[in-house]
Amino acid sequence: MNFASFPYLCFLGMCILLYFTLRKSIRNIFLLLASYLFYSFFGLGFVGLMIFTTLVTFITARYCYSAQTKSAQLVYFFIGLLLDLAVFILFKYVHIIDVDILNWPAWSAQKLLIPIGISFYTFKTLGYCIDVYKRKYAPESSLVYYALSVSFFPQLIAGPIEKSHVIIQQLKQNSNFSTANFKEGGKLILWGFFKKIVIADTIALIINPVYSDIAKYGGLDLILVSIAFIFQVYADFSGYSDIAIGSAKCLGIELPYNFNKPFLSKNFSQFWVRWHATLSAWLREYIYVPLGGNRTSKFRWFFNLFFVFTLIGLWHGATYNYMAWALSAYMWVLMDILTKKFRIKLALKLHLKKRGHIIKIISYVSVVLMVAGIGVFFRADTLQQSFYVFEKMFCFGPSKLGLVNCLLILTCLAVLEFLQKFQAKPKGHCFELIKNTYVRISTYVVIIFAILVVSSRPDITFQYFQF
Amino acid sequence: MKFRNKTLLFLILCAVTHSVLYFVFYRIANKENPLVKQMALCKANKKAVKVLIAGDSHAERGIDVSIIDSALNLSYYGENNMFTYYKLKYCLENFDLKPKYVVLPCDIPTFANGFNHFRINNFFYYSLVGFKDIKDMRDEPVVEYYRYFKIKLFPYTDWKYALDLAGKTRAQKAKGAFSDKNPEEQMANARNFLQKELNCAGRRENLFFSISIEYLNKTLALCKEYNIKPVFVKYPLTQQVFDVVKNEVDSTALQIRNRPPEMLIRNQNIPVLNFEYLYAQKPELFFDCHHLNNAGKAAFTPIFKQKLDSLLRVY
Repeated sequence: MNFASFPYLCFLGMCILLYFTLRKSIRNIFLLLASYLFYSFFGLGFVGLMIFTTLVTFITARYCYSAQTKSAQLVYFFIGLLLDLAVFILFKYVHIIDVDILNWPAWSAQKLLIPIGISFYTFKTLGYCIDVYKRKYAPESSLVYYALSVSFFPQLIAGPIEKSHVIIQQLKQNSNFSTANFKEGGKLILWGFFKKIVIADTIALIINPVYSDIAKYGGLDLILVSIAFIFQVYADFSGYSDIAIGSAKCLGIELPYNFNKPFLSKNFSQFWVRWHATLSAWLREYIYVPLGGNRTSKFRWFFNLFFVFTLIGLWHGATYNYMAWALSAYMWVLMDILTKKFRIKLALKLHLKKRGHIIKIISYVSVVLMVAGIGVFFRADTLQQSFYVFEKMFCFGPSKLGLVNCLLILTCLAVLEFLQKFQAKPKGHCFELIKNTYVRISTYVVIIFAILVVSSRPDITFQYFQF
Repeated sequence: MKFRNKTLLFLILCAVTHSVLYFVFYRIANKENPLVKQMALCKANKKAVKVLIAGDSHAERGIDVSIIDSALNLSYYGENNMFTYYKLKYCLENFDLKPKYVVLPCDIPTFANGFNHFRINNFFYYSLVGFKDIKDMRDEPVVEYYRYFKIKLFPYTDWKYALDLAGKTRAQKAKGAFSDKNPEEQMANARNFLQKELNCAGRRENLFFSISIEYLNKTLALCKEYNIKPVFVKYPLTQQVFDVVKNEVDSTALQIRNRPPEMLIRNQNIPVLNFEYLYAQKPELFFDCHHLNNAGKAAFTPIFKQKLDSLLRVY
């Protein structure tokens, strides 16, 4: 089921209606069943796999917590961790080992489908195991609550990755229907639909043909397409996150934000805090800080960063492209750290104000260009294709993209950035700062009809559903 | 402002915007839509029509109807045989055409799974389909009803097709040649065609769409009712299509006995003009793996005319 679709809205509407009309004691069982039903639309087998992961982590975490000795705790922790990771690796990476490394012709690993959202719920269950092992929280005693925290449908497919205990706490509060939550959630869903259907899909329809016939296009086309692509991914993924947060809010559950206007970051390091924030936070909490973070020697610090970025690449997929993307991002972060003092000195020398417009513009342009540069690895099908795109970027020939397409891309980017100006909070929407009621209501209407008018296009799945 | 007033204002604005879009769209679409124009031509036709040519882009791009005597071309891009049935029915019921023969396609894609799930120009076609018939058109009637109501309530959502925005691009495409592409590109094109238009289910055993075959029976019954003799045509395809079907769907799928619609046609002794392999080795006459270009159309029409004439002399 596509998130940005009418069937999803119907499903959500039914869930909200039934959830708040049911007795409080069975609400969560209903929500759990609804979440499994939602996931079964992507494949019934995937549900079985998720139930297995849920049961394994639920049981081992309980045993781990109640074990008397440190060694017994460690054994249970590792059993949970390894089984969880084994499922993740088996389904996400084994076909790569099969195809690329062992080349088993008759073996059926290629037929194993990658369960949608496995990267997201595996990280969540891993975090739960680690937290229980470290005695940060007691394990959940109710399987229903725990299973629901893993499978809660708004965040099941592509996050935001929220800790299980945070969701469980909210579920246990069993809040009543709130009009304010419903209105706010609805606005977020509308904003998410707009970003996905109007902005992301419009850009996707222009740039997808370019990547299927790169040779035809000139350097300027490819530069524009590369910039457009990162805005497409941003509108797509942040649109999904807004729909997820909005849907959860309608059900009385607060999910964390995933994006905080990342292109307005001061530098490339800050970009990673504002882009896919819940994944960054997870990696920071469970990998980066335990490794020593930046409170260690410079060499170790850089190694820690390298390790984290390698994991980011692997999390997206074990392909050369994702690794190249992650490692080039790492190089930009390193460059950002190493040139920080020099940049401050230069700004002082040029009498540029710290929060002045010129600095802001320079930061914006440099962040966009850096992300667009590494984004080529993310978009291209193969590493060779990525290098070919880079090579072609410097061959300036006549534009084959067409004036209409160029203008359409620029309009999409301008509209997105303009509407974002009215978004005050990271977990907000573009209607927040429009104080005039008439203008705000007109904006709702314009956005609804913009979505309707462009909705006849073929479905384009969310970029991050594949992870 | 009170919540009630805000809601009222919102609803009024929605109603106004919807009405404006609805009427502006209808006004433009009823002038610009090529299918509406085609119907208008049919209605205005005063000449005796001997042969009606129906079908999809293969017929539209393959046959130059101006050099065929007393023929009228009703074919249109992306028209599957279910929509052909409804269009034919509408024309026969509403216009004074009285054709003797109707030329229908029976290519591999005509009854294929992907092509029959891919519905475009819904704004026009759903106006021909009755509410009760909608459920017959798909294995998932809910999906079809959803589309139907969407088009009926918000017809402007189909603006891209209704206003024929791709018309210029289509005309431009017909000037190209498939032979200009390198072998990898040619195969990629054929593979893409297979995945999107032939077998959307992605299963080797599931090339044909059973509902589409039911509509073939309906079309034949309609012809019988109006005393029209059907003739089926298999339009030219490139070798790459055969290679892809053979290797990636089922090697036996190309055998006639494994094509249920064709078996059905042959069992009723209806003639089939087979041009499938005619230009398999002439990629210069196509612009993609399954569409003739302008040169292909010019070369194919006389051959088609000759074969059709000799058939109609005895049929």
